[in-house]
Amino acid sequence: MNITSKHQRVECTFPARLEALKDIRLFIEMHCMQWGVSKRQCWALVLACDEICSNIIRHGYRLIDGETLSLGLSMDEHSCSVTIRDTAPPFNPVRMPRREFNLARSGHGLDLANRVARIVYLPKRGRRCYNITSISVPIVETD
Amino acid sequence: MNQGFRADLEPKGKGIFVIRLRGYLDAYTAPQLDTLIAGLLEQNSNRIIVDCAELDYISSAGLGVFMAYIEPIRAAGGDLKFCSLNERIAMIMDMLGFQHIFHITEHFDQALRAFEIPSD
Repeated sequence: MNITSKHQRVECTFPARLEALKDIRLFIEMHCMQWGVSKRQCWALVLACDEICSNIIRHGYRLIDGETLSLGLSMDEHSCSVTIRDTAPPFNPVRMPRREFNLARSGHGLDLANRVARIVYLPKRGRRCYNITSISVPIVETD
Repeated sequence: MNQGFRADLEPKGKGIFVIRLRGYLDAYTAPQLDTLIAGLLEQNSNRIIVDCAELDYISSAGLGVFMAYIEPIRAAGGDLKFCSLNERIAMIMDMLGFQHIFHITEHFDQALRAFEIPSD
């Protein structure tokens, strides 16, 4: 794990494995706490990031070992954001339609992520050999 | 911020089993829960209360386990009821419409009574 920090931006690279989800959540929670992000907004960011990372690991990388996810966490006066970089085959988390409730076992993660955070997805293109998923929540002062 | 997970099983008599969830239920830990519920169904134990009093976090992977089993549980004459959700978990279940299909109670005793008193 390699962490660099400057002002209110930190970056960290994680193995693209489901076991790493807890470390990803801890990474976000720890810094959100330090930066004074509200618990509600921190939870939303953690949940959306967990869902997106799970999908990249399972459906993008297809659980293949040795791949990584690079996370950048940043905050300005308007929002707190996580930017995820991965090199998996493009897997668009934004185009998933909101669905009505049904008994499907999977597919609700993207819906959930889209409900608690703003998500923007840029698939790898041209010279950029990685996908970028940006997850952001607005800054609010109280829980 | 311990991010571990446990699912403990407790028989309550009259064929009712309680699954007490603790910690963080995500895509990595959900298979533990899946195995536990599958084991109950194999024994025809299909009256299940999921006590979430000590569950700190759940993602869609955890919720997907319940979605996968609710139909076979009800087809076998049983049910799966939730109790003691914290605010965040209640919010997630609400977002996904869980309240329309699962019986969710505030307290454990209410869930237990709901099994003991047959509904019409």
